[in-house]
Formats: sequence, structure tokens, C-alpha cells
Amino acid sequence: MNIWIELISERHGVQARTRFESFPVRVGRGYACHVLVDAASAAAEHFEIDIGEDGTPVARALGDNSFGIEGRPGEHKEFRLDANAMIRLGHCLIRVRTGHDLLEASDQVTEVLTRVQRTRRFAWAAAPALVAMLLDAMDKWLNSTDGDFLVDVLTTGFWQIIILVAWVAVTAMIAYSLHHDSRLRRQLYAVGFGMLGVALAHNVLPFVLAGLNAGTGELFSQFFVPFVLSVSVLVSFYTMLRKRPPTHSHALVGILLAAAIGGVSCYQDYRGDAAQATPQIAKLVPSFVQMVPSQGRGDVLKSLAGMEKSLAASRTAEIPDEIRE
Amino acid sequence: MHKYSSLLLGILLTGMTATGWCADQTPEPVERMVPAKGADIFAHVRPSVVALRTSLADSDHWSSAGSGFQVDERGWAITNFHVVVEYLFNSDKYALHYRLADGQDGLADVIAVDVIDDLALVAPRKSLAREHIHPLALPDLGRLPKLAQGDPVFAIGNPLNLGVTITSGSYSGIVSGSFERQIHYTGVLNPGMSGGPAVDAQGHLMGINVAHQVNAESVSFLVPIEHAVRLYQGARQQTRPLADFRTVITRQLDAEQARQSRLAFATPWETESFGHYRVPDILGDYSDCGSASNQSADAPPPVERKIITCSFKTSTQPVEGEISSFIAYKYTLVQGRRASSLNPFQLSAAADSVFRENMTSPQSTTAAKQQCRDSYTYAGPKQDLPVRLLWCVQAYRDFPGIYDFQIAVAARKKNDAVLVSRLTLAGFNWQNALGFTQRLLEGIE
Repeated sequence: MNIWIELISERHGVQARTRFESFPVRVGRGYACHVLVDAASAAAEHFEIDIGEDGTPVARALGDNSFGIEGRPGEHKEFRLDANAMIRLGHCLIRVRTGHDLLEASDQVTEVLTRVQRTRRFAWAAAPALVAMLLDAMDKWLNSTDGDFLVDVLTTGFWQIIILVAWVAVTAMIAYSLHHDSRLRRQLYAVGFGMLGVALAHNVLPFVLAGLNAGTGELFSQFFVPFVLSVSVLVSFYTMLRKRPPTHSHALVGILLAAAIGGVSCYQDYRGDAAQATPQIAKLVPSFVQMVPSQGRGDVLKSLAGMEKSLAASRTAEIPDEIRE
Repeated sequence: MHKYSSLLLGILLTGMTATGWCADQTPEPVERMVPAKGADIFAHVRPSVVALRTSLADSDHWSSAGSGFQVDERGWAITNFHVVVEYLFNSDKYALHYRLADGQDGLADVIAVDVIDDLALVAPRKSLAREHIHPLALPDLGRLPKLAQGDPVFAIGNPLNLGVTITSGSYSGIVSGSFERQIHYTGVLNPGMSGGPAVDAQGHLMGINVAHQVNAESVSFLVPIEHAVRLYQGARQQTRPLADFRTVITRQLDAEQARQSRLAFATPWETESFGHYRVPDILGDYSDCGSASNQSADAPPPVERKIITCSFKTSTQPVEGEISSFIAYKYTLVQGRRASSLNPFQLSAAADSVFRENMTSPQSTTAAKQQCRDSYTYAGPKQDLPVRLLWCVQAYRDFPGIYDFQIAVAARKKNDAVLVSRLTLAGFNWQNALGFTQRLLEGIE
């Protein structure tokens, strides 16, 4: 029986195709293997391909190794390779063919594969922003008192779509430049989830903290928005000027610059507002959301009496320069 | 006999001459009976009127202007505190100028203040010659002019720096229920006339111009003359300008807020019905209350707000930019226009804007950084109504022990209406503010 083992690139499709007539066929990073793959996560002899009793090719991991199957979750020790099954080893994709109409079929699959990969990548990038938009719309509905909820949502939704596009563009460009390195791709996903956490905190935390009598500042929106926009602008300009996507180091420099820009902007706002700052007051919430127990009236009045000392001290505090001016 | 006659005549002549000399050296303000004609009143009072202006120390352009009137042989004059406040608090940057009726002018100093009644006693920095001094007689406290409703009153001053003018009106008695006991004058008082004298038909001093009601016609107010008499008598022996005015003002404000608190606490507060709630009437007969609603016939908004707002019956404006002393309170009922038209979160959001309105203010050169304390407790005589209590306090940098309090209480008895109670205590001490808070919480149910 003959099989053809194809090495596939996500961007360029089939890179190499080799026919094998004797089995098993060993695949790994070592020179003793029949198929060499240049993936950091591949072992010297990672897995082998053999023909099962029913004539179907079977992939078996060697030693303690395992491999992934494209489109299926988890790692595998053994897998029956049907017509379109692809083995993933690090950034490498390996497909086993046993039929004839190879060229036409593989072109279509590669194109579909590329589209699937890109869509999934963009979906991950858009997920944090989409969740943030949904939470923001819910927040607006809960606070709507003038019947213009839809108008509010559409108005702010316009700006949120701008941010969403910028965020998707940034993530796509960074992922595009990192497609050869699965480890950094995982780190990118970690950053994406981290930003999702920031978006969640921005929308959900004030709702929760209101019951804890804690005020919430504008920190998340002040940092999150300029950060995303700055990164997207910097990376877009670079791509336009150099006509190729940025490399890993360029992307990281862009992120650091954006963080610095956002940080400086926040600090300047903080300096300007600090002198004029007034105490933050938590929003009124329904009584069933109240997370702090009520105190007896006597205890509350006693605690208010205890405030006098700190207020008396504030009288003699130095007057900020911004106030004097 | 002839020898003794001559001696007697000499003694008599000497005595008469001495009396005349003493009269020249210590002129006493002379009470004169003057007919009730405006022209005559004006002629009688005008020589005593002083124009007072504040300007930057190195500039001739004035930043504020008012009036005053001389009250003694030294040319000392009574005016309003708010006429001199800018100079008093910024004497390193501003100068206080006076100009007499005869054109004599110069710099003046502040000798004493009564911040509660809005009065000040000023003195020319350099001694005045005799011909420039025309004091109006301050009455004795036991012989104050007694006017009846409708008696003519004349107010003299320097409106808008147009020159000394006179307006006429009538005496309408002490403002009913006013804490400050001001006289309601039906004549016109314009800016610049503050601090000028108000006299009766005989030309006797009976008040000092102080304020007019904005958005009203012929509703003006005078400070009763007895306050000026007390101020002058307490300060007539001063030999130098008032330096420690902050201590004086602090003492006066402390005494005033103690008086207001005593009056407010003298009797239990009555409560009145407001939606599902009952709210206390803090100032009773001393309060001036109004009510409002945001529901108009055309397109009423989905959130209904009913408001009761009250303050002292007084026309005294808070002393601009420096310190004020007053009590004001407001009750707002927030609910959906139709039952269940708002979910609990939307109702809370609607009440939130009322709850936090004007609660906070930034620090300034005169007011320290504000601090707030948020807590959940219980209102009502049985402490059975859960409420949220927000206390925001700001200290005055120059007046120890005096604070501005903004107190807000949010209560929700049923899920369809929130009661937001707001109490403002400006220029109060801590103890009395706690007392008001306790009573407010006891009264809401």
C-alpha cells in the first residue's frame, strides 16, 4: 500500500509531499526519522504512521509523546487517519493521503483551512470586546430612566465598534507575525483573556462594588481605550510604511509604547484632577444588592463623631499649587 | 460790689467761652427734627454718607463698591460686612477707599465686624479735619425708633457708583419668622447702596441697607439699627484696625449656629405625610417651603419627582466666596410614572442623581478637602426603616470648628418609590450637625 505524507503550511498550503511504501513511517525532529519536522515541541522520534488491520493509516505516539489532531480537542496517543485528518505537531501540520485526486482536493482544503484559521483567530480577538459591549448594553438598560435606552446603546455602540475594529486589527497583526511560534500564540491568547478580564471588571465590578460602599474610578476606561487605540494606530502605520506585517519584537515595542502613551495620558489627567478631586460616592443600588450590613443608629453617629479629628487636620493641610493658581 | 460784679461777669464769660470751646472739641451728633420731605431728608443725611470702594492695591479701578455713614466725631462709619469682606480677607492685595460727600477721600481700615448681621465698622486711616465729619446720631438702645406698618422710610446710598441718591418706601415690619430679624422695606435698594443709612420721616436712623430680593420688585431688607449700635458700642474703644478677624468671625458664627440649633431643637419636629413616607419639618415656623413636580401635562417623563424644599425665611445672601451660615433641606420622592414602569435598578439609578446632587465640592483656598462617610442604618422612631446615610463635610481653612455639612438620606420602603432627604448645614459645628442628623433620622418614617 502507498501513502503520501504532506507537510502543510497554514499560509502557503502543501509544502512537501512524499510517498511511502514501507511502514512504519517515523516522524520527528531527529535525523533518524523518515519525515523531519522543525517544531520546537517535537521529540526526536515523536510518532509513527502505520497501516491498521483494515488498511487505514494509523498514527501512534512514541514513548510519552502525544500529538494533536486539527479540529479535535486534546492530545492523542493513537488516531485512525481518515481522508482529511491532519496531525498537528507544534506549528507543523501533517496530512496522510491514500487516494488519487490529490492536487485539486488539497487546494480547496488549504483555502478552507486558511479561512477557518483566520476566522477562529479573529473570533478570539473579538470575543473580549463583544462581551464588553454586551455587558455595557446591559448596564445601560439597568440604568435607563428616560426611555432612550436604544439611542444610548446605538450611540455608544458606534464608538465601541471603533474600538472593536482596532482591537481585532491589533490582535490579527500580532498573531500574523507570530504564526511560526505556537508558544507566543498561546501568550497572545493569554493577553486576550486578560483584556477580557479587564473588560469584565470595567462593566461588572462597579455593579458589585456599589453594594460594598466602595467608589469606583475611571481607571479601566481611561487606560483600556487609549491602550487599544494606540497599539492599533502604531501597528497600522508600521504596516503601511513597510508594506509587511511587524515582527514579534516590533509588535512588543508597539505594545510597550502604547502602554507608555496610555500611562502618561492617565498620569497627566490624574495630576490635573487630583487637586480638584471630590470624594467618590457609590451609586444607589436596590436593597437586595446591598452587601454591607446596616448598623444601629447610635453606632453610626458615633463613627461620624470620630471623623472630626481628620477633618480638623485637613484644615491645616497645605494648599496644592493647582488650587493657588 | 463793683469789683465782685466784674469778677462774676468774668467768671460767667469764661464759663460760656469754655463751654463753647468744649463743644468745638467734642462735637456731639445732634438730633434735629426734620420735616418728612425727601429733599430735606436727603440734605440732612447726605453729608454723613460715605462711599466705600475696594480696589487692587496698585490700581485705581475698583472691584466692589458700597456705602456707609459716619457715626462719631472721628469719622468712623458703619457699613455692611459684605462691602469690606474682599479687602478684609485679602488686605495684602486690596485697598479699601472711602470718599466723603464733600469729595474728601482716602484709605480706610476695618475696626470691627458683625458677620451675622452683615455689618462692619470702618475708620479712616488718617485723622479727618473737623469740616469733613458729619456723624449721624446712633440711638440709645433704650430709645430705638418705633415705627408702625406703613410709616415712611428713606434709604440713602451710592447705587452703581452713580452718586449719592435717596429712595423712599415704607416700613413693613420685621420679616415674619426670619432668624436674622431683618426689616422689610418696600423701597428700592440697588447694588452699591449696601451699608447706607435708612432713616424715618424725622431723619432718625432706623436701619442699614443690606439687600434686595432678586426677581422681585420693591422687596428690600434693612438691618435693624440696634445691631449697629451694639457693634459700635463694643468697638468704640479700639485703637487699631481689626487684625484677628478670623477669630472674631469664628466666634460669631459659632454663636449664631448655636442659636439656630437651640431654636430648631427647642420643640419636637412635627412630621408631615409625603407619599408613603412621613418627613420632619425641621425649621417649623422659621422655614420658607415650596413644592414642585416634574410631571407636566405634555409628555411627562417616565420618572416622577416630587420635591419639597425649605430654607430659613431670610434674604441674607451668604457672604460671597468666604463663608456662609444657613440651613436648608429638601425632600424628593422618586418613583415611576406608572406602577412597575421601572425595575429596581432603574429606580435606583433615577434616585441616584438626586442623592448625589451637589453633595461634593472641591477644595479651594478657603475650604479644605471634603470628606464623605457612607453608611447603612435605620430611620424612624422604631428604627425600622433601612436607609443609606451619606455625610459629606468640608472644613474652613480660616475658621476652626466651623464646617459645611451636606447630609443625604435615601430610604426605600417599597420598591416603587425612593425618598431622598437632603439637609445642608453651612457654618455649623460638629456637635450640632450630629444633633440635626439624629433628629432627621428619627423623623423619617
